[in-house]
Amino acid sequence: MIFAGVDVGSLSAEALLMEDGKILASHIIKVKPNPVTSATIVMDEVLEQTGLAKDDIAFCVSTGYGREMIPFAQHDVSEISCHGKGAFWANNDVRTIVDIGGQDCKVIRIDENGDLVDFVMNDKCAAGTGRFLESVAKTFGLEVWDLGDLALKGGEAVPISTICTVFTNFDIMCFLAEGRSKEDVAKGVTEALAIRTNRLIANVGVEEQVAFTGGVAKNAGVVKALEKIISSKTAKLSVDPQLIGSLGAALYAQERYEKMQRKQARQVG
Amino acid sequence: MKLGVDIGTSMTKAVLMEGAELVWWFSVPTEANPGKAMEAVFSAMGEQRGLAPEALEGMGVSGWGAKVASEGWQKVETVLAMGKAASWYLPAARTVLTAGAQESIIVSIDERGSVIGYARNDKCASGAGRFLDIICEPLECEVADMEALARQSTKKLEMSAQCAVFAESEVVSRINDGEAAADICNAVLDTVARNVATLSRKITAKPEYVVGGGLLSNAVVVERLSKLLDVKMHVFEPDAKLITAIGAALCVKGGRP
Repeated sequence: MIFAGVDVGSLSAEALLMEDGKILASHIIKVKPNPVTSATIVMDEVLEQTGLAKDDIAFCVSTGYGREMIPFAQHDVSEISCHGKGAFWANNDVRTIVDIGGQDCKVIRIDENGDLVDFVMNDKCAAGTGRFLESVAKTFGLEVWDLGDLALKGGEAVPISTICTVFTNFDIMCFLAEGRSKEDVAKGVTEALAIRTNRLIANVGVEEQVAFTGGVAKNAGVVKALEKIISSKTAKLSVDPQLIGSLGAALYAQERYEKMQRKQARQVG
Repeated sequence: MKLGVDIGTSMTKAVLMEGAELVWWFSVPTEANPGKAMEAVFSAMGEQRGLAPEALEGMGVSGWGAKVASEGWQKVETVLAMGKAASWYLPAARTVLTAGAQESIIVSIDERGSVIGYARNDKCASGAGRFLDIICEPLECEVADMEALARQSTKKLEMSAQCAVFAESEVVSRINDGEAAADICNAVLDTVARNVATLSRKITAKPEYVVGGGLLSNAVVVERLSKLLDVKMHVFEPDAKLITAIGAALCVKGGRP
């Protein structure tokens, strides 16, 4: 039986198919202006990969931006729940999830059963989100990934505004004009993001192990800065951190489907 | 003659004061290089006034770039400069608000222009001039045109983003939705005014209320702010952006050190 999860974010969209508790296929795309278009394109892609048709999917859950508009999803679940569910599946030792998305940052705490305990979210300010990195990378004239790699080569990080993305860009121009190396400035940027994220984490507290999810979690420079500031063991995930939301959605799809089956069985009985 | 310079994050402003009389002013983009901006001030002063730095009674410097000032300069705290300048412009001034590219400051002063208290926002661009620079890109206009553009607005829009970065995305999606540039621009100026008002409420406003700085050269922003705070505002003259530079010159003590 096939279950599907689709997660449309502000920058990327992901779809994932599961069968018998295994991941069958997954795909990530850059978002289109319309969430329904993004969801449809990315879902068509995983179906094509597997040679399946939409009708082969027993149940589909959507999450993320515009999750209630996705026509082929039978149900929608919040990103918070999906990231909790997905990260716990990818590693049972995870208790804290730091999801740095394109336009927000969430810290989610789960218990030993993977159930939600507490969460905190910043979606009001671009600092501490993927948008921060995107904007800063533009100032450097680089791609986000190259910025992370550059930071890994940095020696002494420069002190950079941790509060506002706009001012960070100005700080960067000044440091570069002063002749500081690109590497040191990039390292300052990743540390600024980590300091900012840590302030959010402090609101719910850290319980080991900590998993980083979302697209930013694939940026080695950022992850290194985060690990340094949290000084806590980082969980290894069996799944691409960017897919965790869609994975959680697929797991909810299965749960929801089984619940429905049980209900129907009771009604028949 | 005294020279006052305000090295802002966006523009460097310079004035020459003969006693209480403003005799010359000049401005140049700072371009993240305060040293170069200061050189530009000296060469303009030489070319336009035939004055060398040695011929001055004293030189005062304020603003973000004041940290690079070398020997011979007196560093003047921005809040002190604001107080003196407001009092120079309007002796009855008791509250001074400036909003520049990256910083907004509100100061409460006494009858001599001395500072009683102040509050500052230099941490977030939501109420700063830089916000407008960012928004102008998707709107394809200049900051100087925003006032006229906003006045052509015929429909009230509400912006939900407070963050300048998110506001830019919101503007892009409003443009894609087919909203008119004038209406979007008007909504953006509303947002900026609201954000500056948040800071302004940290000080009890006493009349008279003087405003200055690059952002408050925009009359629409001043009108909205004045309405939000329910106070009458006097925009610093001869030019809102000169307030701190004039204050820096007025704060210069004695002759050359």
